[in-house]
Amino acid sequence: MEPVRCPLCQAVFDGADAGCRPSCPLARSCSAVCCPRCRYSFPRETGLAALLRKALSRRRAT
Amino acid sequence: MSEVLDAPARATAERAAAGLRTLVLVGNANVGKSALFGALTGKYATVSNYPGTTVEVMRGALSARGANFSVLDTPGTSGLFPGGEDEQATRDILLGEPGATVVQVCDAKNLRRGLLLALELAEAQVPAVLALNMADEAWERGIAIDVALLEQLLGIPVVPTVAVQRQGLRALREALARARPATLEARYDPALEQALSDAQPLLPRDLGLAPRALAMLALLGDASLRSWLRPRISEAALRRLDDLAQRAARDLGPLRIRVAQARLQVVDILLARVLHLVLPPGPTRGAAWIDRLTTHRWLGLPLLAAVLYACYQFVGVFGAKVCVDFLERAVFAERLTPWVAGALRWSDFLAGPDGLIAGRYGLFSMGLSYGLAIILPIVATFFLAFSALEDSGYLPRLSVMADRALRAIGLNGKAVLPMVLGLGCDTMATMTARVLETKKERVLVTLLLALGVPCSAQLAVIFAMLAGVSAAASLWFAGTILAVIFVVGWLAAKVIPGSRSDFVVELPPLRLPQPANVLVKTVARIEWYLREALPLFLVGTLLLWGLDRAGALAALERAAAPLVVGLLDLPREAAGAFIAGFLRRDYAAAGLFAHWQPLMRAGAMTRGMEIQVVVALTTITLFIPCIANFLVIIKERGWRTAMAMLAFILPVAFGTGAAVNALMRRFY
Repeated sequence: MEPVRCPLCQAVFDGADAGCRPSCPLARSCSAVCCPRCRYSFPRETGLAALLRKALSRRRAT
Repeated sequence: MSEVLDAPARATAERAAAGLRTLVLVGNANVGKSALFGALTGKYATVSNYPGTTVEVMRGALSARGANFSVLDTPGTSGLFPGGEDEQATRDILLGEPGATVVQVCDAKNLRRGLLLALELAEAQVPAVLALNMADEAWERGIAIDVALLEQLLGIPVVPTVAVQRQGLRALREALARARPATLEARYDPALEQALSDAQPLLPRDLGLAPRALAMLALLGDASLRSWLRPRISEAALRRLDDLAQRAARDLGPLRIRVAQARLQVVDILLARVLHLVLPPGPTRGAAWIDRLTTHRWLGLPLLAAVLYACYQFVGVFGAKVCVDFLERAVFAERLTPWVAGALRWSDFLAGPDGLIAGRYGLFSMGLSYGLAIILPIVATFFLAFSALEDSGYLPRLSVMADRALRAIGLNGKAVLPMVLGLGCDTMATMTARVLETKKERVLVTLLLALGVPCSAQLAVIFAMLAGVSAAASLWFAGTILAVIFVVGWLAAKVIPGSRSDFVVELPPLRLPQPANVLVKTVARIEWYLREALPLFLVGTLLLWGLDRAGALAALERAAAPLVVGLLDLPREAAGAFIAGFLRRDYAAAGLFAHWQPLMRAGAMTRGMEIQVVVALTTITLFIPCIANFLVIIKERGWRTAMAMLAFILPVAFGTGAAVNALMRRFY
């Protein structure tokens, strides 16, 4: 749903479909996403990080 | 069917009566509509199937300059003539929402495609605003758009946006009040114009698209339009429309191509006036010099060493000493643990010396204390440093450096990426080994990952431990791990036939890390770590508690004593850390850290203890992979390979530990 940018190769992709599941046995509780281009994994910005990103973005926009 | 299709129109009328206007986001696929929808409406959105279809449509709310909007996010479309169910849903939303304001989201990098759709929306006479999304990427690629001129030529507000960074949203919200039908119009050849003129009087005016757009769809043979027209116009008018469409197809040839050509002509004239290709802003001379330095064959190495040293100081000194000291001693040992033990003193089972919660292997006194007081400050500082490296664009450059080093031992260039990714998570990196071409390459990289590449959390604890010993001891550790990777890689590369493949990685511009980005990434990583690691810490503690209660831990320590005490010269309790290490390697490292930390803090580390730290760290780093990684190895490579790796790794880990112990006692 939310486009994310890979910090390694800079590809922009749909974060909703890029979970590391179903391969990883810990996928159910893990919020990491994997870049479809270079496979770099990094955590999805959810929960507190999402709120923080939103607050900082709003501050920058105003 | 018509009732179903009219349902949105009725809903729109109800919303209008409640003072709610409709805003529809329309655009080609992959232009960032959903990102813009999220940025405009916030978190709360409802998802439902559009009536009569299986296509999901999101609806949210927006207030702009005193007006309240119900915002609809539509599936990506290339035009009003539907090419599939998704595109038909978008077209039907526009038909069923008369009076709605449209925000057309366009990829600024692909203006031509966006303007083709804009031209159709102009024909449909919908009040619109054009959002030039991904404006930053267009600029980075040297694409400059004369926004003021485009606005003037189209006759609608045009706003550059970067939805993912929430840029341009304020201007977009303000532009909604100025939304109007575009004045730009494509003119077709006279025969087609005549057919359009003949068809327009037959068509309804209460739909969301103007009669000229409806006439065009009818002439192009859009069968899906019929269900919208049937309840609104007479049978005779429908028959007349069919006649006009048949005549147009017969007299004007391939109509869709002619229409597309006419529209493209208009768009190309527009593009020639508003689109300029410019050179992107280049880096300054200083920045370009640093950029070259980062990947330089020799000069890049001291820079890499400096980066590692800065991480080591920040994580090992600030994180592992200052922060851990405070949390472990002042918060956990002096306040929380005594308080929990006091609150549970009525139960020996929970708070006794071997209690489940506050005992020696208690879930609180050990599990949470490890997770929150020891590991959390260390990984938090490490994640901060790692996120800064990531945001600066240095990581891809690190893979270039690693490529050179690994090529020197004959390893395939493609193997570099999984090895570098392993520093994040070995489990994921093991899956990445799929990109390698031969089975042997995949097995080799999986083995090297499981053997010698520490994951980020483990690396953080390693930094913390090394901060408590001398620089020479740290070099012993780093040298040993690198030597093992190189020797195993070199030997394996000897038995792997075939040519080396090229390693291609796109280097993003090197830049100063942005504090906001670094902070958010760090928080995301800490959240991820707490969610994934903390439960396993508790499981590990529970396992140790159970083994201890059953007397099995002492038995295991006795059984492992010849190996742990005899061969490695480590304290007997280190056996517990190796057992827990199978759950998570950083948990094992935390156990070792907790053992030596009081001595490090007191400055009472002797030469023998420093050797023990290096031996323990070397063994645990080379030790069998964590349970998640092991399960993925089984899944990816099969049981037999996984067990063979285990059989290889265990003796290598203990053998290397023993060799380091012997060498250090002689030469350190």
